[in-house]
Amino acid sequence: MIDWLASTFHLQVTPAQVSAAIRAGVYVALGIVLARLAAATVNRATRHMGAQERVLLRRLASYAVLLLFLASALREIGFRFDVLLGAAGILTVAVGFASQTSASNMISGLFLMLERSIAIGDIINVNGTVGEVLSIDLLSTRLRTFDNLMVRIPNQTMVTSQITNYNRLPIRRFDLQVGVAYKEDLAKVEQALLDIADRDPLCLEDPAPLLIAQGFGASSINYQLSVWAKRENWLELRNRITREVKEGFDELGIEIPFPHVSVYSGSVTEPMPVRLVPAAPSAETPPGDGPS
Amino acid sequence: MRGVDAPSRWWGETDLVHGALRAWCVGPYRLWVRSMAREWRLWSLSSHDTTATELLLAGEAQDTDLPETATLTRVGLASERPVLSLQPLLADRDVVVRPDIPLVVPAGARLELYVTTPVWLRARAGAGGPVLLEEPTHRLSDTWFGPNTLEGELAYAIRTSARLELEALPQRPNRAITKVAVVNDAREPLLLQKLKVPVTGLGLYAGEAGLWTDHVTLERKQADDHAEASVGSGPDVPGARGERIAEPRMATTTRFSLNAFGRLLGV
Repeated sequence: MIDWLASTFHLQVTPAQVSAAIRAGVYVALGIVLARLAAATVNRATRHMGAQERVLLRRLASYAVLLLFLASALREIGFRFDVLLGAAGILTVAVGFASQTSASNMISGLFLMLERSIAIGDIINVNGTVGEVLSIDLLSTRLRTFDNLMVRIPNQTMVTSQITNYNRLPIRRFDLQVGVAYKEDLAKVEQALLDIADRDPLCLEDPAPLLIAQGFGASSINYQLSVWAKRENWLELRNRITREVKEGFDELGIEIPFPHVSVYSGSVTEPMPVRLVPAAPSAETPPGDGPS
Repeated sequence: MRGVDAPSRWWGETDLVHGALRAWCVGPYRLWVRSMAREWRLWSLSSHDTTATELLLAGEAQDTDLPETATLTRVGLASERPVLSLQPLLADRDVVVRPDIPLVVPAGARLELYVTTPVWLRARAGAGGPVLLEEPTHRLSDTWFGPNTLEGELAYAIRTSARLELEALPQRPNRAITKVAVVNDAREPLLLQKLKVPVTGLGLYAGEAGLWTDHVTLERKQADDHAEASVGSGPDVPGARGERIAEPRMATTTRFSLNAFGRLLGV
């Protein structure tokens, strides 16, 4: 076999070198197996910890074992680590220039993990991208958006961006903007809104619902109804309270006006006369010839 | 229906016949159950009428009696001789009770009041069998109990008349009565606007006049707005203590450290 290798690749291979290469291969294979075993053991032993810590410890154990066996494999094939250490200074400069961005991402990833502002499973918003954190890797953080797209965000971007974490606190507020017609009795409107919030069991009683008069709008008097919900119920409450306000207002005859414009011919003039013209039957009216 | 010896007792075991629809009504809560060879079907509905006192035990019902708004639960479970076991349980979160009119507890005074909280119903296929359904007989409003929106815990909210006389307490089949003693050891009067009843740490009893829980004492210490809670064994009302029918949901070891901040009185 050694002869075949030598003739095929024109190599000067000695039996000792082949033996060393086989040993190195065995080290690498053993390293891979033991690294996986170490990861599985750490995974089992850290069941009580959070997902983030578990992933971090699992990777540390796995990489440490793998690195150890890789170093042993390299030594078997004659790689000299003292030479590597000697050249470490030059290597550091070279690697530093070549992997500036990667190193920055790695350090940012470390800060992200230590800061614990986000964790695996959290729903976050980064620069307008909303999704669930799948993993915080060495160089990047992976998100799964609600429309099932995988988004990879470099850790450096994560550290320098504003992140909104929707999962961190157990309760959340929803602000419903609603306008009512100018003709309405505002005391009745305010009572109706508070009663609707009071009746909904998903709406927290404490912190109490908050009603804020936003002022006189172009077509309506505007209110903000702020209600709190358990985080998991927030979306359901948002849908329900909107429906309940519409139904409650319909029942009480409170008008939610559309935007409209009142046309006057001037403050000192009489109102403009309006004449109603009956519409012609549509089938007989050619397009563009109808009353305007 | 076995295990029932008083008209107000709606829990216990009932033998069913495959295919037949049976109905229960416990105050505002209604339940219809049909067992079949390979599955159970349970329809439930809770009305908003919290004052309802109607009681119906395993009554015969027709499909036409089922309201469209009832929620259907299907459980794939084969039973040769179907037996339905119903059990009342206390709420799965603590309950914050807010008196309609705040009560003043003078300095150095002790006040005993009675609060009622809706129970949860757990349906099993036979005693100790698989759980078919567990839900509240009346859906309580959620609330947050804590000094701010960062610290605290989720609880249920209930408004009450906070009656001081037991005789004035209306009997409702779906509610358990808790006797709460409030002791104000501080030098200032205490305005009792809300209090948290730690129902998850209380045992449930079937007394002569309905359901009772262990009694609770909330004690406000001197110059402190915080209160310490202690849970006493049994309802502490003559004639109320009966058979203990449900254990506390929380482990016994944590019954006395009810929350991290120990703020049990909203003052």
